[in-house]
Amino acid sequence: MKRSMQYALLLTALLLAALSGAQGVGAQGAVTIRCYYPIGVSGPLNAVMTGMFNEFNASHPGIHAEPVFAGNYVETMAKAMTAVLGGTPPDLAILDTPELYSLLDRDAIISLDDLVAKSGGKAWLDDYYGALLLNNRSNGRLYSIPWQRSTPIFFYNKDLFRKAGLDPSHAPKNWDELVQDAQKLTIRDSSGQVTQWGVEAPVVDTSPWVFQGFLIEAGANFFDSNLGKWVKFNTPEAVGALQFILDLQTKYKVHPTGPSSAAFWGQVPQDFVQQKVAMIYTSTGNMTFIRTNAKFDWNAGFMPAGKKYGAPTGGGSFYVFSHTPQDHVQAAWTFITWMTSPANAARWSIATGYVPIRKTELSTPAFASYLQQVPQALTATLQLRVAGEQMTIHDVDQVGTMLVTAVQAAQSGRLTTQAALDRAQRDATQLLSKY
Amino acid sequence: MARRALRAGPPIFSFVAQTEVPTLAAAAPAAATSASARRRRRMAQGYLFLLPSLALLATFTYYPILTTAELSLYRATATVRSHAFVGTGNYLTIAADPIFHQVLRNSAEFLAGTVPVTVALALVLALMLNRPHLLVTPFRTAFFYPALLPLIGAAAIWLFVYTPGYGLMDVYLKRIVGGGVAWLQDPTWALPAVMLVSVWKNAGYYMLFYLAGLQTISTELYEAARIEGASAWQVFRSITFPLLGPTTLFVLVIASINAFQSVDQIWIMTAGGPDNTTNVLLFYIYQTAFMFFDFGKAAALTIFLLAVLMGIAALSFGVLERRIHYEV
Repeated sequence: MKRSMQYALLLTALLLAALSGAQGVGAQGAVTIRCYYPIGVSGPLNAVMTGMFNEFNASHPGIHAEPVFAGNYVETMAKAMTAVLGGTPPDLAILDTPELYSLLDRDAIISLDDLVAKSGGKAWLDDYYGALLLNNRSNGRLYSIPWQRSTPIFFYNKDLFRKAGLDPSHAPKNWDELVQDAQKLTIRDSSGQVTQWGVEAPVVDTSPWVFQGFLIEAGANFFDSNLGKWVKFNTPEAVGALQFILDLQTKYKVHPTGPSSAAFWGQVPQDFVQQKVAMIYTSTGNMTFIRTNAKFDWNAGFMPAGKKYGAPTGGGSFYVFSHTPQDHVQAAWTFITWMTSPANAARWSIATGYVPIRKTELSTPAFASYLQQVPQALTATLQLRVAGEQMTIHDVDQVGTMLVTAVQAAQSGRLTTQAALDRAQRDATQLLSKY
Repeated sequence: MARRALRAGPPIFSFVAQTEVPTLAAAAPAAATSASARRRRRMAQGYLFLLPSLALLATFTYYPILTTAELSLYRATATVRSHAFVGTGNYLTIAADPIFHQVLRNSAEFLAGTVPVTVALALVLALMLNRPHLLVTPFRTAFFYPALLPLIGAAAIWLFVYTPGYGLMDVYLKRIVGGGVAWLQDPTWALPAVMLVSVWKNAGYYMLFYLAGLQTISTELYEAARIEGASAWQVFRSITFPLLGPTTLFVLVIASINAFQSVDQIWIMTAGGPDNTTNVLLFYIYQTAFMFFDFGKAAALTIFLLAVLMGIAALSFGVLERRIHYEV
């Protein structure tokens, strides 16, 4: 009696296991495509994303697009790569754009040139901002379509500018002005403790993102933008960019000391809304957070220029995977063009704070009224005109980590700027020698 | 008598006791059959009872260990299509890898810094909360509470605690000694800051084992000690601590293994930085495998970690256990 019940339990368990192993079947006759996607910024974005998938499916009876939430960018890439290695890649995925070579090296993705040609070719593609397409190409071929794209911009507290006797109508234009303003905005109490910092720049977090902006502005040509096979981290320009950051910390003492990190990246927007700092560098994706939490007058501006203005782009793009049947590729392309249509892209930009990806997106009614409420939202778009390419090379995550640790080593005083960047250069060159 | 009580303490021992029960019960109706057949049947039954855990272990532990060991002999990155046999190549790579050396130092520091402190704290908490008192239950709950939180959530809370300027740590320290330390960004303080989270998280959990251990010590011993006029310290040194020996061993092993498994808070709080000063072995394996996609090197690192963990287990259950068990 008791034993038979145990057998029954066992049988049920086995049956359940077998059932859960079976693949879900889509709507009758429809092509089912799976899309991995990450959530990179805070907010109820999962609901927005799922809503858009549902709307697509309702208006496209022949296709069933299935959203697969896969964590943050790193986790989504890990899952996509594991799926590729296991021989069951998704049909498409939104991945961090610089992963291009990691995917190409595994033969995991297809070029989208033929699909673009059928959708209107150059004229259609030209509506996307050129800066956002810089690192979607390798060797002249296009491999991804921009989706949730961002760029670091400069935020400043206008109230604190007024208090310090500075002109609140514009941000510092260049590094010299930045130092001068930051010195006036750094306030110490009688014991010498800083109560308000002039500026905070989270130059590295888990990737050297904002630091790339300083490299571009210093005129450093720091990686192979065509084939992704080399880096130049220890040029005089690159050392100068890192030295400028160190000077803000130790020479001018207008920036908190110590290495930048992922924790610091998260802390900077908090510090800004708490008025612990007057000027910050952060992603345009944090504008919604600042807009809702800042109880003071603020504005956004370009990253102050070094030799020139500049900033990297960032964020995720749509990739289509290889070994995907032709009807799935077509369905995936229909989905991508629908999602990045001006009206839908505008909806996503407004909900998230990501930059508009297309020029016609700005003239959609929704975005026009959004700009009236938040005129600062245009700053990032304008900065795209002077943006440079985000480092997109082979083994980008490992080389990026080498640059992150080098910057941290210099900021913590463990190595000089030159020695730290020499170390990163040596390690990166060794790693990239196999390509 | 005392020995059996000791053995019943920690769950790992009571598990052994449970598996013996069915075999004894099954022996009775088999009296008619011959002795050898009975033995065979008993053996078969024993294996039958082992089968579910054996199948699970084989699928999720032994097989992965074997494939990992195999993979560690190949150059296998996500970017090469076919794996090339390199023999000990990956092991030589990690032996010469300066980051791996730093990771080893960090892991050793993490182990040496968290295990003794956590276990001592757990013992003190258990001793204080083992007496009947109105406030014992709320205090036990409070100390055990961190163990209930997912480490990821706890790490996010601690991230805020450590925030320079207005985080709890800085605010309160400022009143006492002056603040201004960016705990998670300072290469000297980042690892201790992460270790503190581990101590806070685990002390209450290990306290439970000690509380269970204390229940198994016969009250007669304490009565005898009281009659003989022993001081509190003498009671602790001669009765409580020696009889808690198996519990201490068990907790030490669990804590040491835990120290190597701590990765969540590092992922959330420092991502191994600044400049790899908080990068520990398991995090380095994760980084190598799932961020850098160098599976061969990650496999070699995993085999190394496995060897370390098996070393700890062998040391504890082989050498220390023999010294700790004795009859009272």
